[in-house]
Amino acid sequence: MPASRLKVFLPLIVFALFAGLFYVVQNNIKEGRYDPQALPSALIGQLLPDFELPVLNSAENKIATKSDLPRGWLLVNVWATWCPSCHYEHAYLNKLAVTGEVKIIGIDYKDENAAAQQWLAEKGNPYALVMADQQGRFGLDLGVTGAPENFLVDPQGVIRLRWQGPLDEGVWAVNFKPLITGAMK
Amino acid sequence: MISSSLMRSVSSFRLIFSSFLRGSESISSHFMDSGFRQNDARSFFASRVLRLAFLLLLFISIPSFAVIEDREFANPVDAQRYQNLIEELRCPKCQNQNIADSDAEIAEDLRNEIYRQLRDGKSDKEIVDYLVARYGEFVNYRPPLNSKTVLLWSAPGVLLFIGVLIWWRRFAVKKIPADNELSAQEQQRLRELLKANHPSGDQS
Repeated sequence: MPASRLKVFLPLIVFALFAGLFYVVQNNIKEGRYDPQALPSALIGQLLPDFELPVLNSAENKIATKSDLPRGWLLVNVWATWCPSCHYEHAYLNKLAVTGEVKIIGIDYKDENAAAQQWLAEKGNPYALVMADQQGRFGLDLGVTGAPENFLVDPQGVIRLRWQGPLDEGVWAVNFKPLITGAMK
Repeated sequence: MISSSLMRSVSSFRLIFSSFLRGSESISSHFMDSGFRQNDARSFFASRVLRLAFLLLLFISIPSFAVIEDREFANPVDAQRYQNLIEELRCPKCQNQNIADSDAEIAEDLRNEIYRQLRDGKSDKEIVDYLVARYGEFVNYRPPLNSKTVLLWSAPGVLLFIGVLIWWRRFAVKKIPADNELSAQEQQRLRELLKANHPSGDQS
């Protein structure tokens, strides 16, 4: 009786289906295609929020606003010296700054100015402009949950992509670059 | 000025106090009926101490689950609103906690922000909208009913309906067949079987 034999194997079939599902999900996590913690940003397609933040490397305590941002594609990079992944990310940011594909804007998130300045002096400064968000208020406006986080802003000032976690060549090539080159065509 | 942790204590205290009141009332009426005896006093004391100890246990365990904060509010209503908000908003970092229970730094920032906005006189809706605009509908443990959340809201009802349907099909509709009389042939066979198993025939 094939029907009743099928019934006997039903638990095994269910197990195999779930095992297959979990394997696919785990594999996607491992290869960076899926992050169960990643949240869709509420800011995609919206203008970069306004801000008034002190410039990190300025002697006269200059305050920067949105009008101080350079033109063109921007990468808003939220970082901090207390953030381990930011150490990993920094080397790639230095490389990316040299290519000139984007101007990198640094938001030093809930950090100490002295430590941040020392970090930039030691590791190099990839930022066209770097500001200190000591209270994390601009971080709240961006919907940041930690560091590092990266926002791609188009020349019209619209946020096109949010990436939670460190940038590297792979992430840039797969997620960021197509948006920039796609818009240029 | 009432702090939020104090508010919680006040409400627990009210519970203790009211149950005490009820307890002592019944005991005092008992005294009036039978006059004062030492035995009564001892049991009265023991029951009161026990009740107090038991209620104190409840009292201690309530606030220990939440992050301990000391905030000043202009009035108890604001303190309660603050408590409700942080319990209904979800931490965007540690994703299965509300921001009241989470120790994550972002949860603390969000609590500070909610507190600041409450003090600035913002309404609950304005505060929730502020957070949803930044963190998305995700932060709302009580999402509004719309085309995106209709599945979420209807799932419990649909699942319950399916469950009831299955239960009904399995148990409720098992009708007894209308024709449950044995035929003459079957009666004969039944008698033979019974006879074979119980030759003495004294059992039916």
